Amino acid sequence: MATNFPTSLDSLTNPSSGDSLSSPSHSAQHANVNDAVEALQAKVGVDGSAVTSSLDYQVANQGLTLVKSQTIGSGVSSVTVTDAFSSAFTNYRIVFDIDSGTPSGVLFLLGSATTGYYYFELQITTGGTIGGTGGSNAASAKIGTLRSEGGGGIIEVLQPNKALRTSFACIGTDKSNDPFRDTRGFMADTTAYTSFTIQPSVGTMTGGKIRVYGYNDG
Amino acid sequence: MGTTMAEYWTRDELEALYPDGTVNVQVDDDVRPMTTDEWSAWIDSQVGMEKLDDTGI
Repeated sequence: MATNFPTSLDSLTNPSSGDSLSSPSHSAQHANVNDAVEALQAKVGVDGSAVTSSLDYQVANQGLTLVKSQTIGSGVSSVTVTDAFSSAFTNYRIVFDIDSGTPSGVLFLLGSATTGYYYFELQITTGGTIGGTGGSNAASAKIGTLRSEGGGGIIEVLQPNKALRTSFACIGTDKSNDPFRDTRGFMADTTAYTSFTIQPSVGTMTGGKIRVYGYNDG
Repeated sequence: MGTTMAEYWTRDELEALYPDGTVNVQVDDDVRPMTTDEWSAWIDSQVGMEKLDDTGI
């Protein structure tokens, strides 16, 4: 029986203690296992595999790697995610979704820094009215709006763990008639950050997830 | 960007909504109540901030 893996899983016959060497065929048993192991090796791939269908190649070349997934607690005024940034990746994506909270702004902070944020949040209503909120050397960066129905956003963070200014951009959300919230900004200092905080500007938030992904540096 | 008159948070309102001992801070999976000093500073930081509501949709 030639192996069917990886198209489908093999169903191998286990010999019993009283079976003869000819039934099931002893040599066929070895051949079947050899074929299955070779198919497994081909699927896994060698170190640094260039075979695009191999797992080794796909793991090494995937665009994003999940670094951390953090559940947001109940009635919290802030959530700090530690060990989010390291030298393992240069750039990161943070995806956060909040289930509910006090209607307010959503703030983004790096490490323990409470100064040095330069940003602008562009806001557009469903009717096309354009406005915005900015900050220079602010205590945090506003990256969206939280409503009682929740909120969220996608933050792109560039070079947070390098001794350079950290840039960030956020596709923010607002579950109201001001749905467009788009922020660009940077942190003026050159600290190599490992952590960040997300918090409402007023009150608390409950439930949801914060997921941190690292971009492939390949 | 609404057209209604803006309203702002007062200390009394914030203290009524978020009494001492009811507000948590979270670091990774560790969720703990704020100390009274932390809570007082947290309330101070929000006094005078604009109120948002869920209307308009």
